[in-house]
Amino acid sequence: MLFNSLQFLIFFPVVTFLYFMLPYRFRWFLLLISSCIFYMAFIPKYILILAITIIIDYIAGIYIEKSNGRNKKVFLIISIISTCAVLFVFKYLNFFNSNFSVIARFFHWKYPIGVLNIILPIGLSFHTFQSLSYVIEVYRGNQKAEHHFGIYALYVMFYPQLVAGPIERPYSLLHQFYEKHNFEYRKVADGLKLITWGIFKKVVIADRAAVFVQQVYGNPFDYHGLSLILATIFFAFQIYCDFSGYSDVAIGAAWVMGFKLMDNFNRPYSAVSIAEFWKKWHISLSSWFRDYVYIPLGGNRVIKARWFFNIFITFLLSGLWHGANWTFVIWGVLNGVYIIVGRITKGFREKLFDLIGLNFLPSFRKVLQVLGTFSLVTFSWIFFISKDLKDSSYVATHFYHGLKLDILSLFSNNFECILLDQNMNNLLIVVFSIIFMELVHFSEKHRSMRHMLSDKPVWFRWPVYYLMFFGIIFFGIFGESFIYFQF
Amino acid sequence: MELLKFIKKLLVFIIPVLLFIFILEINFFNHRNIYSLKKEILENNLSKYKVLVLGSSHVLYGVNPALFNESGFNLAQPSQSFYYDYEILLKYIKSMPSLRVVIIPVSYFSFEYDFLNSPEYWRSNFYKIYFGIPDKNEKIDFRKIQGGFLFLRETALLSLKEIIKVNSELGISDSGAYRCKDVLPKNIRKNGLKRIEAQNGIMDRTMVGENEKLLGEIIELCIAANIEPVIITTPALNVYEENLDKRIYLEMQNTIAHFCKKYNIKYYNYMSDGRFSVEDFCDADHLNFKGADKFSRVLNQEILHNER
Repeated sequence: MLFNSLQFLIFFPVVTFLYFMLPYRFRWFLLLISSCIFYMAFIPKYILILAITIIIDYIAGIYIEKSNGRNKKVFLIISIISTCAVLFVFKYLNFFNSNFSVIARFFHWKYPIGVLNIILPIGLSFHTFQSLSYVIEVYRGNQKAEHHFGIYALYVMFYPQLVAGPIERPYSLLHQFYEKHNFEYRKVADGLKLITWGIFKKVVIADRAAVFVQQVYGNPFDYHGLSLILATIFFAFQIYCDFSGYSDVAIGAAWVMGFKLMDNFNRPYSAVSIAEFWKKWHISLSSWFRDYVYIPLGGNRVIKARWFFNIFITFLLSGLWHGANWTFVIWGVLNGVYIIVGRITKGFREKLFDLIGLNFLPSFRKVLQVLGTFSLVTFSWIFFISKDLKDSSYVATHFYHGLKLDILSLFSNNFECILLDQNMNNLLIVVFSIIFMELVHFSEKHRSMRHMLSDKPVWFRWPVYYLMFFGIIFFGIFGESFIYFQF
Repeated sequence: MELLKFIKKLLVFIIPVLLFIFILEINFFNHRNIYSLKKEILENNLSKYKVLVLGSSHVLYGVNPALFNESGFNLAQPSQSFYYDYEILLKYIKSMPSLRVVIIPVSYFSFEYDFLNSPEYWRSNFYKIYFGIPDKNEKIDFRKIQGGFLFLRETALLSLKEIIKVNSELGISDSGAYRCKDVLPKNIRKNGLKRIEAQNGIMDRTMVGENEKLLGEIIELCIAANIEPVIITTPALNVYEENLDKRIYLEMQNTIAHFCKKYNIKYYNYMSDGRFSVEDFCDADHLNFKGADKFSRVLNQEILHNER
């Protein structure tokens, strides 16, 4: 069930209404059943896979807590292996299989295993990581094992964040299922505003930008220069609006019922460095990798070479998490390299800024840093969106082909290179809605727009709400799934 | 208390929105659109027509009955399936005493066409309202209860400029044909591939039996009323024809051959007819107004006067 669908428009208010009508002790059951229904709207039989991983980790959590010493570790390892095995089979088996097959062909070996016809269960990567964080935190002693099976199942399956996060931690979410949440006008209003903003980003910006992106990345060899640049920049906004839009709906939907989920995005394209970007982008995932991969490897409390290795491995795994394709691995590695190079050149860059007097113009310096970071991130998105390495290397090497001619053609009112077989209205809607969104972000430096709006009088607030609402109805594209559903 | 406060504010917010959308929708449905216009023209001239052309946009764009020597009408609609071809013919055939020929277009996708699960499903509402044709599958679908987005959101917005009036005739002539401009997409190869991809997306092999049955019923309806049914396939550019799924196309041809043999009727396949060049098209599988006029003269000569 998509958040931007008629089914969810009915599902959400019905579930929320029943949630507040039911006595507290039955609410967990309602949420669990609703989450099952939500999940089964995709491929019903896959709920069995989810059930198996929930049962394994539920039992593992209890045994990890009960055990001592070596046995504790054994149960943790069993849980991690079994959870990751499911992820491996459904997501990575064909990828590794096809790569082994290539190696076998190279050495003229017989390789009998063909491609398996497997559909990736929706949200597998997300709830796998959420389950892993539970068993790890129980092992570390930071979280008591959950003995109520229904509550544990709900922790994994809580529908707002089931299929695309935010990836929650047990100590943040589990206790909330025991709390009594009353209907609070402020939370409901806040939650609905966040949902509306999320839907706006998704259906107006992301799905409209997607038309341009698909036009080019569907067959990049037909394009060059400004067309490639535009499509790549649009993808930067498409993926941000798609994913942050989903997160906003998830967080808003949970908040309506009184559940607090973690923020997943914090104006990432305002980052002044790649390191800062990764503190603002997909926060729940990057913090997961920080806590369960980077820090256990030693983090930055090791010698420099090992520190860089830790960064490299963390981002390589992050790339692989996003998809079973070399393009995702390269995307992850590229971001790791950015961070490593950023660290190595930090001193040099500070001296350079000093030399050219940029430190006396802090705002200008910040603008340059933001644009520079955005450019690097956008360049890395080429690998994220491309079908394969051939496409990505073509795009990466053809930005400048015919660029001069394309720019000149714009000045002579020939917009073919940026219209990409679409009409001007479509392009203008995307551009202006991105500008609108960035203006909102700019004003949110210290406080979210929702909270700022709450302080304004009705005659100011309500026209803004109507603008958003009608913007969604008239400019939205409906029925498209979310990009991160494929992970 | 908090719940009541919320419900009050929600109603105060949502009622003007619903009212606005309701007025917009009523306005759209009350204004002329392609369905109401064709119904009006058809019903005003039922006794006159000797030739009726059914089918989808291939024919809507591609056949101009004004160029027939005999009085004809183009009853095609965008994305029209055999089900609606049959139901509309059934509704009017007895009221058309002069009807002599019914042209039944069959396209590459026709036998596997799954209208109910296609993005065009919202059109079922218009068939229900204007022709009284029931929706075969009563799914919950928002597109069925709205008309404001029939002509694209931008047009819906533009209509607000004219105080919620909609210019919705979309260039439909008195003979029911749509006159498409002679502007080809820049990359015709890509357009051809996109068209086929779009059509493959609305096809489902499980629909073959049902669609074949409907075609049979259309033919039998004509024969029972002493009307000659003729099957045609409209012209398309090479790029479209070259990239069709050959298996599906062969099955389509075999099925048509079977019908022709069974009912002793004729089939005219113009898909790769050399008389039509790129100047005659507005995209890979739709004729522009020039191509439509050329094609209509060909039909007039070869089908209506048997001069092939």
